Amino acid sequence: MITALANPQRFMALSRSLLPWLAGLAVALFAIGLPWSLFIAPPDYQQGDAARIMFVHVPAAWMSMAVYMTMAAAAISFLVWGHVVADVAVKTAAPLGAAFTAIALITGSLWGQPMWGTWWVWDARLTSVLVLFFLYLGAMALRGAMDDETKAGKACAILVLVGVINIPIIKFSVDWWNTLHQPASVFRAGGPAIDPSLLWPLLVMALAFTIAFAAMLVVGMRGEILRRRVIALEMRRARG
Amino acid sequence: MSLLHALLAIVLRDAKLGWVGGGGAALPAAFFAGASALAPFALGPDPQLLTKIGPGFLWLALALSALVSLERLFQGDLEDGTLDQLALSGIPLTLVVAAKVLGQWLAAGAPLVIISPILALLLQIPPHAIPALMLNLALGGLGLFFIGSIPAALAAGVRRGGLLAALLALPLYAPPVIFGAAAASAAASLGDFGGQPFLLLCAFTLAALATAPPAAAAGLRLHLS
Repeated sequence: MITALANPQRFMALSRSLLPWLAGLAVALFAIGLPWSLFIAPPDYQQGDAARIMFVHVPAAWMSMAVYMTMAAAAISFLVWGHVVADVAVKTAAPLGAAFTAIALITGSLWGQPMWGTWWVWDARLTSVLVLFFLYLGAMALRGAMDDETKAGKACAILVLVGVINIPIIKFSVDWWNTLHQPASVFRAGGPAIDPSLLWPLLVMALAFTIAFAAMLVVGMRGEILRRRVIALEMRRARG
Repeated sequence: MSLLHALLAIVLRDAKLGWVGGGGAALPAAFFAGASALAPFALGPDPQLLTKIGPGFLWLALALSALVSLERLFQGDLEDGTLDQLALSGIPLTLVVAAKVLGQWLAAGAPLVIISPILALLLQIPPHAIPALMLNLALGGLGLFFIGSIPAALAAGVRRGGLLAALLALPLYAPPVIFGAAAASAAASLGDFGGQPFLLLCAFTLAALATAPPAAAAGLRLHLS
């Protein structure tokens, strides 16, 4: 399937028919998830309605990692097999991932102010997400600084893969450095510690974020492929 | 044997290029000293405060010194064609990169270690911690130079590559700075070699020695073709 999609022509055809479904599904999931999490789900017994920011914060934080892993998979595909569509995916995913990371940081800060009494603490999780944000910015800046599209793509792919190796090291070092944030409460041995009445809307929101990312990725990739096609056509015309 | 000779020649060449001209080894040392000496101006001359933050500030100065030297690591050799010659020489590019980084560290990293006792005294770090601190800065600096070679290679031949390399290096520098500063603080307060954080710093440096040269070589190859 990867090889089939590696053909930009085929990718454009497939994505054209896939996009309305993805976009429709994302809108539907948000239409269910947002009212459920913001109005129907019970308020937290300690934090009241303020805890509802969790339904945006937690999916955004999950996506900040998931998008990076998507980028890394695409980077391997580009470096090893030279699939241009994979490079387009790396390029498109970087700003999306940076945006999810920024949302996670900002909502976390807004949540932290009433709960912890401060906008920012140098706690382990916050710090590692901040470092992840810089990894995204670095990938975007590196691509922006290089003129040659293929070279920029390869440099970017190497950087993304170096980042993947480093994420566990950063995570470990920062955990070791300081821990104040609550430990993971959904994915842990012995089942989730979160009540089902809050867990279900959270999972719907997480799925909504994922599908929305997929839809935005496809839109962005289509735009990028068309942009490259236009550049190629202009070059051909300039040559006469 | 000839490979070892060639690598040694590259190490010495890069070290010499760093040492001669433009202030030589004194310049990186002076940058390090200047950055460290800003700490009391910014934070006040209180000896107790300086004892507490001194080791951390030396590490900040070390990381800044390493960042500043990143730009020169490959840029010059890429522009004048030396790297093309080295790539054609038959020596694996990974080893060339490792030798160049080692040379760079000898020219710009080792001088910092040599003057660090003076700065340690200025920052009110107890004298008994100085041997541990020097070992810490030497090994940590080696790790910073090696891991920094990846962003240096990727950003070589790019407009304003130095600024870009510093941005790319920031996430890579977080773990060694955490371990190194903690080890230096532990050495200053407890008097041993820094215990667990020092071991973690050594582990990071070893990992950087092993993984950075192939990644940096892959980055350099992009600019060579």
